[in-house]
Amino acid sequence: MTGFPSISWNLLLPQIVLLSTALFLLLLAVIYRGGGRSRGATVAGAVFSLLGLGVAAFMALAQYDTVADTFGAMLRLDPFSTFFTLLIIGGAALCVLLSVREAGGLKAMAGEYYALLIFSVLGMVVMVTAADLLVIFIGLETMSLAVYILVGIGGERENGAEGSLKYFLIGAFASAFLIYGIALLLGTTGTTRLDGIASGLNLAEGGSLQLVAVALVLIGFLFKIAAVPFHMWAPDAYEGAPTPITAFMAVAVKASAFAVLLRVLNVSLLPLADYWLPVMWTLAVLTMTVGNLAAIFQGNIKRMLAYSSIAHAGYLLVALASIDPAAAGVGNDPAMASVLFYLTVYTLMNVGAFGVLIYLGGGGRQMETLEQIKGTGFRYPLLGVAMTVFMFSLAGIPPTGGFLGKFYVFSAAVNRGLISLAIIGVLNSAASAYYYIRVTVQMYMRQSDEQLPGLPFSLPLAAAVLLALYGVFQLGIAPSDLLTAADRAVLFLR
Amino acid sequence: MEPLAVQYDILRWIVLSPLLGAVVISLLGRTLPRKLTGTIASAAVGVSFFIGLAAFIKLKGLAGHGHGEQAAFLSDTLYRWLAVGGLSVDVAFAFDRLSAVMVLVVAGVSALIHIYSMGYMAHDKSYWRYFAYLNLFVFFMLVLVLADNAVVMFVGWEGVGLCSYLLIGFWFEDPEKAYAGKKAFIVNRIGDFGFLLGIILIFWTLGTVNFNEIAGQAPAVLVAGGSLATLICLLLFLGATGKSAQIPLYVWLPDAMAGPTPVSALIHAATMVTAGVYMIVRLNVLYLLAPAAMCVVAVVGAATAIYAASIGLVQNDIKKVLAYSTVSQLGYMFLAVGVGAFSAGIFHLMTHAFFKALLFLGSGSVIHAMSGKQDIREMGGLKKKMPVTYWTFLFATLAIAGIPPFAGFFSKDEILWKAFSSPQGHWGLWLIGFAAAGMTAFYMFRLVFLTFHGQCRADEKTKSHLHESPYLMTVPLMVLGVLSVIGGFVGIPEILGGGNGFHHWLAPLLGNENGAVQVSAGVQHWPHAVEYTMIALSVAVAVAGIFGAWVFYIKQPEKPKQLAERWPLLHQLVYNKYYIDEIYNVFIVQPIKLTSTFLLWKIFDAGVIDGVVNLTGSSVRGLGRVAARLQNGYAQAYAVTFLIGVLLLIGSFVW
Amino acid sequence: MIALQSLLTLSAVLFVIGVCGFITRRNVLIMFMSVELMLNAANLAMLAFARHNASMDPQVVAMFVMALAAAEVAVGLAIIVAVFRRRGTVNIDDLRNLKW
Repeated sequence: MTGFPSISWNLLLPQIVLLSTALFLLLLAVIYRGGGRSRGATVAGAVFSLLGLGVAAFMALAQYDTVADTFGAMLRLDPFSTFFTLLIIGGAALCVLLSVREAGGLKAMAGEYYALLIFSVLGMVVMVTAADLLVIFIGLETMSLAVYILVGIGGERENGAEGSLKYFLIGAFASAFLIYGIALLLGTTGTTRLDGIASGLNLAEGGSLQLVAVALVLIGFLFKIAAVPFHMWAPDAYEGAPTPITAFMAVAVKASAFAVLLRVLNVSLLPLADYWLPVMWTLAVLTMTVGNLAAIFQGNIKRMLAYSSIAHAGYLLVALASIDPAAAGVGNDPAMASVLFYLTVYTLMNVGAFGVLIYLGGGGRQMETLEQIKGTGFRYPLLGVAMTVFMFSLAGIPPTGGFLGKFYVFSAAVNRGLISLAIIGVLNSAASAYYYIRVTVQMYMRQSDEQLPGLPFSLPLAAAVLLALYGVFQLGIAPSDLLTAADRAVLFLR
Repeated sequence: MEPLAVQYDILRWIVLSPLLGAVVISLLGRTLPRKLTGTIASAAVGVSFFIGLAAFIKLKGLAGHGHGEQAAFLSDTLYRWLAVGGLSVDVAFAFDRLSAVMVLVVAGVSALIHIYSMGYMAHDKSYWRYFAYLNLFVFFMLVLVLADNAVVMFVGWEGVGLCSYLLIGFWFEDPEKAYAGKKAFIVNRIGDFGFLLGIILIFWTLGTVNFNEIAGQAPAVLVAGGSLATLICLLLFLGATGKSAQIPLYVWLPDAMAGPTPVSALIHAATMVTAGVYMIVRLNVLYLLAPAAMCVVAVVGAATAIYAASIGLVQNDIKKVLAYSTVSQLGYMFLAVGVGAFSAGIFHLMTHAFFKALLFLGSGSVIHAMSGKQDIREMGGLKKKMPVTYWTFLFATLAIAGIPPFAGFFSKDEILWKAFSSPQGHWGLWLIGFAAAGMTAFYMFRLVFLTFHGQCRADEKTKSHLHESPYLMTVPLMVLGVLSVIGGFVGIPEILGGGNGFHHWLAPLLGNENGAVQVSAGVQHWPHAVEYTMIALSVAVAVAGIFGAWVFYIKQPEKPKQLAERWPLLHQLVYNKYYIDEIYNVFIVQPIKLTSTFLLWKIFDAGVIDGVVNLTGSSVRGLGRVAARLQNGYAQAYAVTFLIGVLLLIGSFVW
Repeated sequence: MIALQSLLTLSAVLFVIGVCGFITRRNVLIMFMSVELMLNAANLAMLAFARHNASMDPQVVAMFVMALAAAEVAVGLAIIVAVFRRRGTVNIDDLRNLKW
C-alpha cells in the first residue's frame, strides 16, 4: 500500500491561480451591491480575470521547460501541456477583452460570467495537463458545464437558452458515450492511464470490445471539436451564445479538445494507428466539405463563422490524418507541429473577426448579418481593414498566418503521400474564399440602406483586435519562434 | 555545377521601395496634395527601376565564360522565414538573368504607367487610394519576380491577385464592377491552389523550394517523363492558366476591364498576367522533364491564341478587343514555352509588355477624350484630334500585327518558327499560330480604322470635348512607342543578321540550352530557305490581315462602285454593291462572324464557360443549402446524426 | 457469481435503452433522464469489471462519474428552467429558432 501520493504543488501553480481567481470572482457579487450588475462590477470582473489569467500565464511560462509527473502521474507537465496552457489562457484573455462591453449588457452578474469563464479555463488546463483518461474526463466536464451556462447566460436574450439547452443535451449525450468508452477501456486494459492503455491494448485478447471502447472515447473528443457528423450542436450553440462566448468556444474549447485528441492518439492509441488514421482521413474530408458548403449558404455572420470553424476543424483533422506512426520517438512529426501552429493562428484570426463584429455592434445597431454590415468598411475604416485581414487569413491568403497554417498542414499531408486529401483540402480552401470574401464585399462594395451611427470607442475591444491583427501578421511574416516552440512541444508527446 | 551567388544588399530596396510608397501614401494620402501623392508613388517605382538597372550592370559585369559564371546571380537574403522539419524557406531575393529582364520590364513599364495615371486619375475622388493600391501591386509583382524560392514567389503571386481584385473593383459603387472583381478573385483562387499544390509536391519530392536547388536536383531525382514530374507541371500550369488567363480559366480577364484603364495596362497586359509564363520559364527544368505537360501547355496556348483572337474579331468595346487580344498573345507565350522556346516566350512577354501597355494607355487616352465612351462604333476620325495618341497607337498596332521591324515581329516570328522547328514543335501548332497572327492583324487594324480613321460617329456633345491628352499622359505613350519600335532589336535572329542576343542572354538558365536536361528528340537542322519562307509567310499573313481590315472598314464603300465602272458586264452580273456585300457577307464575313459571335463568343464563352462557372457556383450553393438544411433545428435529429456517426465509426473499427 | 458477460450485456442493454429514450422522447426532462440511464450503464459496466478484475480502480472512477453526473443534473435543470421561463415549454420540438 503506497501512501497518499506525493504532490508537487508548485507544478500546479497555474491551476491553483485560476481556481482562486474564479472563486474570488464569485465574491464580486457580494462586494458590489445590486447583485454585481453595475458597470463597475463588469470592469472589475474583467480586470481581475485578466489579472488571474496573467499570473497563471506567468506561472506556466516559468515552468516552460519543466517535464514532470505529479499527482501520482495523473497529471503530466511538459512543453506540450504548457504550450496549450498558454494558448488557452491567451485565447481566454482575448475573449475577456471582448466581453467587457458585452457582459455589461447581459444583465447577468458580472462575477458569475467571469467566474464561469475562468472555471472553464481551469477545466481546459486540467484537460491538457492530464495523463489519465479520468482526469481528462473531469477537466472536460468542468469546462463543459461552465460553457453550457455561458451559452445561455443573460436569460433575456432571444435564443440563448435554446442554444444552451441543445448544446447541453447533445453534450451530455456525448459525455455518456465517452464515459462508457472509458469504462470499457478500463475494464479491458485494466487502467485509465494514457501510457498504460497503450501497453494494455491487446487486440488478440480484448478483441472488438477494445475497439468499440476506443471508438467511443474518440467520439467524445470528436464531439468537442465539432467534427462532422458530430457537429450539429455547434452552429446553434454558437449562434445562441453571446458573441464573446462564441469566440471563446470556437477558440479555446476547440484548442483544448485538439490537445487531448493529439495526446490520446499519440500516447495511448499509436498501436491502433492503422484503425484511426483512415477514420481521420474520412472525417477530415467530411468536416471540411460540410463546414464550407454550409457556410456558403449563411447570411448571419456569426453562424457563418460557426460553420467556418467546423471547416477549420476539418483542416486540422487533415493534419491528424497525416500523423506518421513510424516517427514515434525518432524525431518531430510536422503533422503534429502543424496542429499547434494552426491552432494558434486560428485563435488569433477568430478572436479578431468576432472582435470586429462586436465592435460594429456597439453603435446600438445590430451587426450580425451580411445585410447589416453593408457599407461599414468605409464608415469605419480601421475595422474594415482589420476584418479584411482576418477574412483573408481565414481564407488562407499570404502573407497572413492563415496561409502558413494551411500550407504547413497540407504539406504535412503531402509529406505522408496523402495527395488526394491535400487536393480536397486545397479545393475546400479555395471554395471557402467565396464566403470570406463576401464579408469584405459587403463591407466595402455595397451601400448601407441607412445612416450608420458613430461607434463609441472601446479600449479593451480595440486592444483585442489590434493584438489579433498583429499576431496574424507576425505569424505570417516571422513565424519561426512559434514553429520552433511547436516543434519542440510535440517531441514530448511520446 | 552550382551557379555563383554574389551577395548584393541593395537588392531588397527594389522590392521595399514601392512597399514604402504604399505605406506612406496610405498613412498620409488623405492629407497630402494630389500631385505629391502621385509623385511619391511614381518615384517609389522609379527607385526600383534604377536599382534594378544598377543590379543589371553589376550582373553583366559578372558574366565570364564558364557556365557557373554565366548563370551567376545576385542574391539578398533577408531572414529565415520557416524552418520546420526538412522545410526551410528564406525570405530571399535573387537577381539572375531572367529576373533582370523581368524587373526592368515590370519596374520600367510600371513607372511609366504611374506617371500616366497622374494625368488619367487626376479628377478621381479616391486618388490616394488608387496610388496606394498601385504601389502595393508593384511591390507584390517585384516579390514575385525576384523571389529565390517558390513559397516567396507564391506570396507575390497571391498578393498581385489581391491587388488586382482591389483595383478592378476600384470604383466600388458599381455592383457590376464589384462582381467582376470578385469573379477575378475567385477564378484566380482556383489556379492559385493548383500552384500551391505544385509547390508542396516539389518540396515533397525534391526536399527544397529554392529555384536554384530545384533546377540542380530535378534531373537527378525526377524520372524524365514520369507521372510525378507531369503531375507537378500540370498543377503548376493550372496556376499559370488562372493567373495568365488561359483556357479554361481566362473568363475573368475580359470582365476585369471594369477597372481603370491604366490598371488594365499595368496588371492585365504588361505584368501580372504574364506571371504564369515567367513561372514556367523559371521552372523550365521541371517542364523539360515532363514532355507530356509541355505538350499540354503548347496545345492550350495555341488553342487560347486562336480562340481569343477569333472572339476579338467581333468585339465593339475598345477595351474588350484589347482584353481578348491580351489573352490571345498570352496564348502565344504559352505556345512558345510549351515547345521549349523559353527565351522566345520571355522575349514576347517583354515586347508584348511594351506594345500592349501602349495600346491600353492609348485606349485610355481615347476613352478620356471620348468622355468615357468605349464603343468603337461611336468613334472614328480621331486621328486629327489626337495625333500623339494616334501615332503611338499605330506603332503598337504594327508591332502586335508583326510587321518588321517593329518589336512584335521579332518575338512573334521566333515563336512561330520554334513552334514549327523545335523538337517539341509541330506544324499543326505553327498553323494555328499562323492563322491567329492573321486574325490579330485584322482585328487590330479594324480597331485602328474604326477609331481613328473615317468620319467621327460620336454625338455633338462628345465631339466638342475631343482633345489630345495632357503631357503626363502623352509622354509615357511616346516612350512606350519608341520601345515598341526598337524593343525587338535585342533579339534579332541570326538568319536576319542579328546575334539573337536575347536568347543567348537567357540560355545559361534554360535546361535544354545549358545541358541540364537532355531533350530526347534530335534537333533537326532546317535549311535556311525554310526559315526565310516562314518569315515571309508570317509577314505576308500580317499584311493580308491588315489589307483585309482596310478593305472592309475603309475601302469597302467605294470598291463596288469602281468595279462597276471598270467592268460594266461584271457590274450587270453583280448588279450592285449590296450583291458584293452579300458575297462577302455570305462567304466571308458571316461565317466568321457567326462562328466567332455565336458559336465561340455567345455560346461557348458566354454560354458554356460562364455557364460552367455559374453552374459550379449555383450547384455549390445548392449543396450548401442542403448541408445547411440538414441542420433543421430539431435537437433529436442532431442526436440521430450523431448516432449514425457512432455506428459508422464503430463499424469501421470492428470490421 | 454472475458472469462478467451477463453484467456487460445488461449494461449495454441499459445504455441502448438510454439512447433510444433520448432520441424518441420529446420531453426535455425525460431526454435528460435517458442520459442519466446511459451514465449509469457505464457505471454498471465499471463495477462489473471491478468485480471481475478484483480491482478498486473502476469503483473509484464510478464514484467520480456519479459526482460529475450530479453536477450535470444541477446545471441541466437550471438550463431547463431557464428555457421554460422564456418559452413556456419543455418540448424539444418547439425549440427551433436556431436552425440552418
